[in-house]
Amino acid sequence: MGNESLLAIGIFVLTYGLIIAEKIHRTIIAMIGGGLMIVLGIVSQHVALAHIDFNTLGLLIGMMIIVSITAETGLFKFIALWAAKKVGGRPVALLVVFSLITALGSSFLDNVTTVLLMVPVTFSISRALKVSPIPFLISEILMSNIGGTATMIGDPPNIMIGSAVKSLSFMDFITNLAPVIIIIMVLTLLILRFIYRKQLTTTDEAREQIAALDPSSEIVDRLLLIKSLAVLLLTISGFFLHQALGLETATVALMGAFLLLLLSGEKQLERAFHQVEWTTIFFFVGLFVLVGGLEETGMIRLLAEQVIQLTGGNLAPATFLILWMSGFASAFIDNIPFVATMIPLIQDMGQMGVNDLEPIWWSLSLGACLGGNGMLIGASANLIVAGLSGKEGYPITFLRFMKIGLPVMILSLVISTVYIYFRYLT
Amino acid sequence: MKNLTYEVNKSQIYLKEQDDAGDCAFMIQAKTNDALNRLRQMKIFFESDKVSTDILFYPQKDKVYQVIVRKEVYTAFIVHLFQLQLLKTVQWNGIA
Repeated sequence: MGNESLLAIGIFVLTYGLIIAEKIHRTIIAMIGGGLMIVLGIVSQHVALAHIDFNTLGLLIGMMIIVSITAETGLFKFIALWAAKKVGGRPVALLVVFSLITALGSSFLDNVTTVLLMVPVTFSISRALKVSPIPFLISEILMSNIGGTATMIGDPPNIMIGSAVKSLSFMDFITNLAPVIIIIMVLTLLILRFIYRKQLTTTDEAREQIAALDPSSEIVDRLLLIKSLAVLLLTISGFFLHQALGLETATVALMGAFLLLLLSGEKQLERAFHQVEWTTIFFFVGLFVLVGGLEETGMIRLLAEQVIQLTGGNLAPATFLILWMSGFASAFIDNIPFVATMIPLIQDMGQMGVNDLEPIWWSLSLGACLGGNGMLIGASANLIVAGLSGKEGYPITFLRFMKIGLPVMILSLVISTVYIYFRYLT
Repeated sequence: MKNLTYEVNKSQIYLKEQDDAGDCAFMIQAKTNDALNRLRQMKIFFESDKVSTDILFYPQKDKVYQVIVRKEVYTAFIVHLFQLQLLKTVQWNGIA
């Protein structure tokens, strides 16, 4: 192992450690780590740029713009209030409906955006019903991570996998991941219903308040709503057809975003760009360069060799190792840097003779996304909901969340193991 | 709140206040489209502040909003109604 390799490992481990410590913003750490890879000559700027996956970045930016404009119309509040009214304000039914909306929302939108849209409505409805918002909020956290796993654009690990593995289409993600996600969702809801059965009761008077709601009042800009829905529909159709059209998902998302900006006028431009989470985008940039440094020095290949040695090069043990390792790692650390490291490692495993990588990709996706439910620190959406909840006087502590999140995560991984075994390995 | 009184602008809104599980519940009906727009403005203002649950708006049919206001932000809410000219007067009573 040469000096360059040791230096690359040193920078990588230090950066990872600082990201986990959370003392300094993860974006600053990742960008400095990536920058050091260039400054210290481990990779040239040209090579570093080649390692940045602009498809991932473009997809994220495009969807962030579309969602921020659509949220302005009041659509998401309308859907939540409409659903609350439809189920007659029955708390158990509401738990199911809000969970399903969150899961469906997260499968097409960023998880953080979805929970940010759902949490205020949840507070509002639970106050009207005079029930604790905690069961709903915990369910929304879990469902945002579970639902996000079902599609290529639902969660950053899937965006990264979809972008790195060109043979996997948008439809492949749905057909391979959605079946197991539906099973996990149903079981998780049954568990939550059992745990919170005593808290999910209300009075007829409170339910009448929900019945009196007029959800259509939440739509504040009908014209913009029509434009947003048309573009959203067009963009999602584009995702389904991207392989047939020969287009990358980033092209679809960015074309959708700028078409919506064209239709909605310049006044939306500044605001929409302001809503893009540039910190997340640059976090990705830093990580791509950082992992690029490890790849260029042969470190990822060395790690892949170790995994192959450990599993004897057999597909089944390698698949389950990736699934469970990704799950537990993602419960404690950010799944984005983890997946950024694992993608080239799995690609190297393919070059070393592991023939069918598909089950491994699905394992990485399921482990990295569902692992986020294990701990409160497992995903950004978890922390955001806990932060908002605490601010409103309903603290979700680390332990309180773990008591539900960890068993749900383990159950999810067990179900995924069984699913992968029977679908791909027998 | 006992020592804060107000006079409703009856040409713009109908307003009824009552206690709701320790908070204050207002039933406000806009009598004009202009008043409805002002209520919407107020909703956007309070929904975009730092705390979501201090003032909650529930839209109903016929230009009605039910608003649940926590005691600690009661004064801010009343002053905002006054600022939007949906109240004609606001007055402290029994203070030195």
